[in-house]
Amino acid sequence: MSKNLVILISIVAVIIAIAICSVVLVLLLNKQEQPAPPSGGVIFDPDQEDDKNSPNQKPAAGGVAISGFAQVTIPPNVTDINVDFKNPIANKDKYYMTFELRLLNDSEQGYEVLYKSGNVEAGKAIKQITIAHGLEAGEYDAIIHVQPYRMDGTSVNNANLNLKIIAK
Amino acid sequence: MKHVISLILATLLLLLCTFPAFAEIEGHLIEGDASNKYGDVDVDVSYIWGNKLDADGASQEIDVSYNMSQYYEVYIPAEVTLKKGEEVSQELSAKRVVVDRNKALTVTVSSENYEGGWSLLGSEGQKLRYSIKSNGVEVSDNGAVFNCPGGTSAKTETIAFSLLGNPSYADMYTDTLTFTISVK
Repeated sequence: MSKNLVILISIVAVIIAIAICSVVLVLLLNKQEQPAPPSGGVIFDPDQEDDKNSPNQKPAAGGVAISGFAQVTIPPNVTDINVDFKNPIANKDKYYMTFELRLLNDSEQGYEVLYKSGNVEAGKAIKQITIAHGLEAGEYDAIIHVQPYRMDGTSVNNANLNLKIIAK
Repeated sequence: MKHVISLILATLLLLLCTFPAFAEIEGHLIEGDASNKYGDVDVDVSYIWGNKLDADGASQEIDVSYNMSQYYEVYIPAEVTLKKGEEVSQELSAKRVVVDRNKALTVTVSSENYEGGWSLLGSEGQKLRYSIKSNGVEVSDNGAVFNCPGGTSAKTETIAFSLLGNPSYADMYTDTLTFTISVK
């Protein structure tokens, strides 16, 4: 094998080795940036997504931030709807929460549950849900029951958000 | 030898071009959507093509509308630790409130344990009374503790809690409050 060929092979091998090391380094650095697993073994709702529009505000001491809206319009007779069940970033490292959509009616309980979420981290939101059944065209009174939990899983005071659902 | 050097440089150039692609393996997609600015905002854009002619020969008129749905962020007391002989105050505040001009954001408070008064319950069902006041006025079950009129983007009120009476024996006495938030 000629001397030039040996030199060529050696140089190419070094370049390939440098390239492989760079790729591995990039992958390792990206892996270190991944968020730590949820604290206390809490399992979070897989449908939660980043809420990019929640400003980084700190709640008052002892307070929990509750985000809500007064009205939502949905297509009639469909079960997949868009919502904004948000756990504000202000609750970071303090509270996660669950959301339950209750349709008010004349039953003994006073409502039926259309949807119940899993645990939602602070700074995350659930934007799309599947409700128990579609609603005919019209207006409905509902409640979003928001239950916050401390990071150790114990519950705190909760909130009911009055909501008007318009199916049209 | 010149061929060898050329080949090496070409190989190096090819490999260097691939590095930016590797750096984007774990990149974050940036999604911009004005309609999600407050999570429930609808942005309607309509176009009207006009037939008005100017010196250049043609012009278009464009109407742009912006529809903002009602939205709020309220901070409620998550937990209150009562102290014997002492009034404990907690803030209830609303931030980023967007409601109709002729409506108001209201908050009421209630408890499943309310029976003629607010009650903490011990592990064996024994009761310990306490009171809730808003702006110095005593609040009963489903009573109002906060009101933020339309056009006010932020407001803070103080709620005061006081223990009434003495417990019969040592225990953990608790109650869970539900804050009902409405726009009406």
